[in-house]
Amino acid sequence: MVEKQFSKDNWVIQWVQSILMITIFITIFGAAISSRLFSVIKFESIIHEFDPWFNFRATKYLVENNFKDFLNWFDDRTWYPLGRVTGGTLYPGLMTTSAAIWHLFRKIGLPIDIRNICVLFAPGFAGFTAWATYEFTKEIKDSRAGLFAAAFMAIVPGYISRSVAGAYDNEAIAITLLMVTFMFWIKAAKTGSILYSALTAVFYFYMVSAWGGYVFITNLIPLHIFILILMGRYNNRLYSAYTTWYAIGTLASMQIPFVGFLPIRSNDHMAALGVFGLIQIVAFGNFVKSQVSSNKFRAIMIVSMIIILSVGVIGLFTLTYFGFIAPWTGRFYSLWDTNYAKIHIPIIASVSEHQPVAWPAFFFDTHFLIWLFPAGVFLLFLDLKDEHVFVIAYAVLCSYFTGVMIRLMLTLTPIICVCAAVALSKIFDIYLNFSDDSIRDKTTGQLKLGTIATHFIVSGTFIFYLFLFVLHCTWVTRNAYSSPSVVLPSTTRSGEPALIDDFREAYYWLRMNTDEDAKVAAWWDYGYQIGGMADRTTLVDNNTWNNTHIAIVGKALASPEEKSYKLLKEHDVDYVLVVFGGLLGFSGDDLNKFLWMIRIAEGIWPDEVSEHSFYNDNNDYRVDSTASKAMRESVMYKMSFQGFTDIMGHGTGQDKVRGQTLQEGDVLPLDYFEEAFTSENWLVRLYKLKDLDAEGRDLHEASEFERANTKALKRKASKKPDLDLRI
Amino acid sequence: MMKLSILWLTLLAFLLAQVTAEGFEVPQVWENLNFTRQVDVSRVYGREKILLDVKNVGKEDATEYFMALPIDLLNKISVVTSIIKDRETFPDTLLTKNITILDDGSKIGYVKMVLPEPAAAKEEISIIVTLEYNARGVPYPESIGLNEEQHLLLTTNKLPLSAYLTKESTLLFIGSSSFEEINGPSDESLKGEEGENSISFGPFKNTKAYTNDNKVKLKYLHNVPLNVVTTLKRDLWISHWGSVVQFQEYYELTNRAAKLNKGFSRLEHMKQMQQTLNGHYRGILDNILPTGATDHYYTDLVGMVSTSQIKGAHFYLKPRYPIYGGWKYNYTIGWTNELSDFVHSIDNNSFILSAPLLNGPVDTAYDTVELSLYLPEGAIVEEIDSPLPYEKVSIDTEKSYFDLNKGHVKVTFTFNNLIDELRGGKVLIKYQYDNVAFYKKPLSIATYIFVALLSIFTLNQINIRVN
Amino acid sequence: MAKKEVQVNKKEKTTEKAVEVPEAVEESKPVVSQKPINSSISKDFSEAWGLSMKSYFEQVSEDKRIMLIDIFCLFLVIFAALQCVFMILIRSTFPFNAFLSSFILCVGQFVLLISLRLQLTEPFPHISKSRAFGEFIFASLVLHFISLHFIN
Repeated sequence: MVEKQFSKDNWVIQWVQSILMITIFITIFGAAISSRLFSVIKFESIIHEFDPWFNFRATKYLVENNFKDFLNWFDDRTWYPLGRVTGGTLYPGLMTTSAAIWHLFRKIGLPIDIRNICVLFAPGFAGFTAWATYEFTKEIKDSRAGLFAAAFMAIVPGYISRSVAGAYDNEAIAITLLMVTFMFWIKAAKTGSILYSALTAVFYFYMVSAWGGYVFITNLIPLHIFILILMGRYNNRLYSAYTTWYAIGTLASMQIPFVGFLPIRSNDHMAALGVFGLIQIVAFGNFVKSQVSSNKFRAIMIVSMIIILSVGVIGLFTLTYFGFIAPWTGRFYSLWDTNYAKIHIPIIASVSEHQPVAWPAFFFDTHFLIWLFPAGVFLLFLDLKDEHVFVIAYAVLCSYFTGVMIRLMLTLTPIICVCAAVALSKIFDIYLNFSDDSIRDKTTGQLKLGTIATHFIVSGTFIFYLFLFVLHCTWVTRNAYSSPSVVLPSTTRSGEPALIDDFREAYYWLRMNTDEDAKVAAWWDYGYQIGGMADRTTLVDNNTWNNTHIAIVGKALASPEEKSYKLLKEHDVDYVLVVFGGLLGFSGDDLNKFLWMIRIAEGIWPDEVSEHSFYNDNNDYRVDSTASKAMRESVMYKMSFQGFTDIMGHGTGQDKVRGQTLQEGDVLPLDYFEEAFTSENWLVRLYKLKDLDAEGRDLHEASEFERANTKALKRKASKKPDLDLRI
Repeated sequence: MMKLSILWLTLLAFLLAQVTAEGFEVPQVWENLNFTRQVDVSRVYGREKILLDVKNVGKEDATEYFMALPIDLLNKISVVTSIIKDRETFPDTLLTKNITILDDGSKIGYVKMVLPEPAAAKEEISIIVTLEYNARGVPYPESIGLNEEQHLLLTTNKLPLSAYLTKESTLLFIGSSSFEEINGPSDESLKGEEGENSISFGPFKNTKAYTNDNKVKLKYLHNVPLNVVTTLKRDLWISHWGSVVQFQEYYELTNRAAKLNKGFSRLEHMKQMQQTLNGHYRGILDNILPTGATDHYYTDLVGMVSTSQIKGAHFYLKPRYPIYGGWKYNYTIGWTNELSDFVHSIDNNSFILSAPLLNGPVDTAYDTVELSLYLPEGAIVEEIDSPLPYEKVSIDTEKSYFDLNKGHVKVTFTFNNLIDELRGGKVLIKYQYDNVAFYKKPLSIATYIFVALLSIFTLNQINIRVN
Repeated sequence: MAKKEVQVNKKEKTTEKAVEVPEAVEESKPVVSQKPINSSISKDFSEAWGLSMKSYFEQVSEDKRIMLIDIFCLFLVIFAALQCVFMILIRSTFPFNAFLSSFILCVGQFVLLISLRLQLTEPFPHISKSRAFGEFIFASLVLHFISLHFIN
């Protein structure tokens, strides 16, 4: 990766150089793609996790219908009975891109299955991200640093975590677009070229169409300009770059139905507008400045600035106050105050992605880049050209945000790679330089052995670090980020590797053996998967747009049977799906999420659901004999543990997740629901709502009657003394 | 192509000749001296063996014997064959479109047997007719508990249904360990006689033609699942370049067994599995593949299924969930074989493909089978031949990987009512595939890539000039 | 003739751009509330004003193309202002996307023109005037395409 400057007339060396470059890029592409294929090799070509299932379903819809239908898509198979205006509430960039790729491949005689395109989408785009990072870093330092940055970007776990094969999510394309946009922006800001600026805007538009995180660009670019203006570094190139980007970018971003008029209404976008106004004034001021003496101009400028700013800020506040501009969203508030979500919006806090980051995660995700990162920022600070200001602003801002919300690690990773690459290439610039200038004494011409030794030690150490980095990345990718989370790895009793495929087992059962219009009530986590794999109508899903609706499901699961049955019947529910990890030891099950369901339901119906009643007398959250009354009566509890104590045949059941033992009789029988299906390891349990009793009885009475009958029969048959009197 | 169109024409002519004729009257030239019907209920499809001792009671030579069957059964027939017992000759056995409507409104159709040599007046001959059809008893009761035994109920004619007078007849059921007649007659003489694993009725004397009102309702133990594949899409991809045949089969499987009356309880299922391996659910599917199959795969609509095993020619599949009565399961399997196992060259340019009809699990009936044979791009179909009458056949093209011209030539047969025993049957296709077509493909791919590279190069040149 | 037009255009243009400046003068009075400083600032302003006007006229008279650009700019400003007035008069923002797209189109075209103008008077390093013009055409095309799409 080390290139030296060769004289230009030597075309052989130039050729070798460009061939080397191409080889390096092909290698980086290869590394980027192949390291993301662990999941396919270890498991299969499958869509991962939750959100990608929705994206996949939407893509299939787009492929099967045309683009116009897609944008007007009203999905009545989710959020029953409300439905979802899907076409207007999604970022279509991802689906459109993969559909375009699909069509393109068909045109050139490769009719690849849309699923495979979706699965391999992220790895493919990771290669482009590496290239964009190279171009970006090249503008910051030089092509040597660029190659480092590209190589880092290709394999850094922080990015791989969201872009392995199968992670078909908006981020898969968004990071690529983020880097391309920034790359063009840096070029535009450096040269003032309208072309680059227009390209920035075009890619900004693409980014807007692909990911909600586009707001980051919307704020970072104005911040860059703003800082430069404050530093007194305004020049006409900045004017042409920024205004072109803003005008085209804003207009373009409003084409996306989901974004709509937000760019002129929401506060998130106001900074960009403010800077747009500011730069007009500054440009004019600059024109004036060139005519007037600098002392006088300074006075004029300060006074004008204060007034304009105050007018602007007051205007912003009044507009927000009168509701012309939308206030900041909840996710935005939680960026500033980590406790905000916990107090006000349980639904946001319940998502693990929105939790603050655990500090070791930084090292885990970026390895040694994390400590080269500040060094790189510092080096840039020493130089401090216009484009360096951008990198520094990016680095500082994003470091803070990542600390608040773990999900934003993804946006921090590119800049870590860039800064670390700058630092590392600086080190190698010095310590891999074995030319005469650096290792021979200038006056005597003798070899400086001490210097050579230092060179070897330092560069050797860092090459060793690079080696460790590659090992770490491979290890992390393989072990931490390649699980589809739909399928769980395990081993058979004889020690052979096997897969626990309970989710698909149950979803497929639903898909094959229930009415096509059956409605399934499940906690929202599984909504997208049910839609994608089981193809059944859900009440709530991962697009958590309606808190009340989610609370209904929470309430239904937390209530006693009779109440829950009534509530579910009102919503035409046919099946209830719960995830139960007690037999397997799967800790992400519904009983562990149960408190969130209760909290969300309590937020809407504080009189009917109370979190407190689910703790026992000792204020513990228990599921065994000491569980509280509300807990044991709740539908969730009954459904999870139904039949659980009989598995081993001795009347007790060991809940492996919560480490508690249930006794026979702890779990009350279900009267209003009937087990429809349970997967092999009991991970997914499906219950059917019983039909109303034929004899017009209350379902509870009917079941009581039947139980009494069977008990009598059993007694007759076995003639054993009946000791197991039930409550 | 010419030959094919001729084939089409003959087929069409054949169909035209068979236009449905209601109120068809069978010339009364025969008399059944003995009519023995043996029904085997051990499979998901019905198997019958009918021994006919017939006599020509007409005055002239007779060549056509019409065997009457209820139209419902006739429409489900998979295979019907006949043999003349003593002469070891085979009459042409055809399904006709002729229908007779009886007084009670029931429709009767016919199987026509054309004797290889006419029977003279007063001549007696013995014909053995074998009949296999895609129909079976229905669960009785319709829904049962998870660990209860399953019984089926079969309703059929107790007295022989024939277009001719029958002097003497017997009816025998085999294939189950317990039989029981439901709502049997009070008359002792009409009651069945139970043997080991069988029940027999008769002999009955002098039954008139078209006796269709005396039914027997037979309940029998059948504690195994009833595999019915409602749709099978079977694709064979012939690749001369790769020298392989790739198979892919998409099944839509239903278990027609009794439904669960109380929903599925995993606990009960686990307990039952410990006690016995049998039950009316389908836990394992056993596919018998051609020998030498490699690269097996097993997927369904949500991805790969990891629970399968290959033992020799057997490809054992464990579905995602046990398939209980009334449950459905769709899945896809595939494998690869050597080209030489199925394709033989006649000369340099012509080949014969002999494609096996089925490879599915044992004890299975198929409602519809769509067999598609994908010949290489540029192949010309010369002749086709099928061991069974097909519903329809079509030839078109379909684009697949690297098909830059017209695409693979696709020959599709549609069959109805197949059973797993037909797996030995082979569809034959004679096609021409010459060297020009053989080399055209890589050349055209190379050309396309070359043009693409060239255009990229040119675009680069233009860009530089603008800058 | 041309000169007259230029003058009109010029005045409008400066007022538009300097719209903040007179305001600043007025409002700064109570804030600062010291007469000598205040008067010196207003003097500075008027001086700056005069100088800017002068150099502007020189610039315009040098290059007719710049004059053309300025006329176009002025037209865009007037047009945008008219639209605003119209919207306020009819008290409805109904086809809001149509209004927005044409308004932003005016603003966008304006800033593009200014960017071009800046490059014509004082070319950026590595970008020749003709290339700047080409880029301007490209960006304008993009802008108009999006605007047309948005306006439906």
